Amino acid sequence: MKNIYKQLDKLKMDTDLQPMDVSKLEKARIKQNVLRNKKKTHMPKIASAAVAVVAASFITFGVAFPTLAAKLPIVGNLFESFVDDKSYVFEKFADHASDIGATKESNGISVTVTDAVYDGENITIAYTMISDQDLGERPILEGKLHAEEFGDAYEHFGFAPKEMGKKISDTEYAGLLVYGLVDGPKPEEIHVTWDGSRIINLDNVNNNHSGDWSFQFNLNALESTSVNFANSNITSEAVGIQVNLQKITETPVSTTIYLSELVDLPTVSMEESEWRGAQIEYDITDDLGNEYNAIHYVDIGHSTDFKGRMSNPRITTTQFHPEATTIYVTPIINVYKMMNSEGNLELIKEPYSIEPLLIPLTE
Amino acid sequence: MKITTENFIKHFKKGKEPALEYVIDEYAGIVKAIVYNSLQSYNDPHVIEECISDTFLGAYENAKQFSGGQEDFRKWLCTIAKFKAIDAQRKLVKQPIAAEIETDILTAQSAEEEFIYQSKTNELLVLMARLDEIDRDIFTMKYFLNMQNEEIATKLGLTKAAVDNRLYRGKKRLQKYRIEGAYT
Repeated sequence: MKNIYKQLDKLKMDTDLQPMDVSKLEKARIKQNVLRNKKKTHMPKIASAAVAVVAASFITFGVAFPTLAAKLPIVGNLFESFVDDKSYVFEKFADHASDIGATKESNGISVTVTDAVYDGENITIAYTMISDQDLGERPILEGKLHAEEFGDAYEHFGFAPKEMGKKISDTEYAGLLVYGLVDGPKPEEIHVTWDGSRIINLDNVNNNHSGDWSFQFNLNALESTSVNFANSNITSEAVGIQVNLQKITETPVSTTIYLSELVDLPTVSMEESEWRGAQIEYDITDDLGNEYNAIHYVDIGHSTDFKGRMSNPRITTTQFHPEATTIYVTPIINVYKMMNSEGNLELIKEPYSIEPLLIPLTE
Repeated sequence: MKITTENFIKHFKKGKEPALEYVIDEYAGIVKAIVYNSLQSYNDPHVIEECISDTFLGAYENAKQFSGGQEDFRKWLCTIAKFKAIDAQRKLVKQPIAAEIETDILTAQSAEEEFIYQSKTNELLVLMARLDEIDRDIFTMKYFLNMQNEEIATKLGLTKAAVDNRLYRGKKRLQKYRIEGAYT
């Protein structure tokens, strides 16, 4: 008897305990754990050899081409630089991105557009900034984005830029621009012109550098499918508030949820004369307990004075888990009042959530 | 290849991954119950989940040691779960409480301890092989599954006194074997 498992088998012990509930997610984690550990026992030799080879090649590379090595921008997937951000929805982006690799230098700052993705809902541009000057912790390249195919559709409204910037090292910075096409045409192919004119630190707008970094590139829309929910009455209501699901668009990289909000401000804020504002944030989860990051476009204002005037916010998130069957979109209501004459806002009560919208997922 | 109630044991013993997934789907509930029952006082879901994973990993890697049908398989898995839970409990007890000690000394010690612990288990198993079958069962229940003497007695249809006795004598015999082993 050299094996405890054999001995344990011989005992034929039974148990009076009743099975406990194990969620799908828990099972998935267990499977993953077991399979990973199982493989590990056969891997170490090969893995360490591979690491050695990789390390060796890096060393030679660094020694042989010192100038090139210094100039190399951030290696790897630029989208992943923002994995800590709560707007990180870019898991699948690297697989679908077009290589751009165009560099422009101006005012001692070199900007390289590395990748771009256009999925019909958002144009996402990943870029790096390299400079000896201090650009701050969260620098971004600011500038007008235009495509011939848009005509003058996004001239003044209908779009929603989301900017992210991050310092990677003393001289390197990563940036992401997610240009949301909220309300307007979504052509199959776009010829993009991005006229970067200023690099600005989001933490301190006084830290900015002007210059001319202009890029032109073409992008094709990824395939997408839309489902219209306007008549299916998926809704969440509370006193003075009504949120309806309008449309969902799925692309290989993301899911975009279109909502409509009706907020009767006097009712919600319980205030007739003084100014009050309300903003609704959304939490997105599924029936497996996954939480999803999202980029939220907040539409302007709420008014019930004009009939039919609603806000139409939009949420872009990742693809949903393949085994999820229901998505919960939970509205969280924030009510503000004016704190002082300068227009600073203050919450008048703790944000509160109302019943989630239940979105069934069908194949 | 479809994994069913009829063929999963065969495929599991061959090390097929779909069979492993089937087993996890089927038995995760009861394994969790057993592990939870032993480890709930630590109030750490990670410890529990790790122990559940360990149970399935142990079963999967030692599938060849199992023989029998579906019902036996369930019992085997439950016993492994109990064994792993006891094992985890002992390790948790040993786990040092965070204090300012140089980390390299600490890791060296724990690796050593782990080795001694592991070799003791193996050594004990080898020695136990020389006992009678019934004593072997008693020892496994007592030292690997942490069962009370009374429980063991009920399980084997003996009196508690008989179990006490057998444990006492068995320990003496093991002691003797161990000393003999040192000279061979």
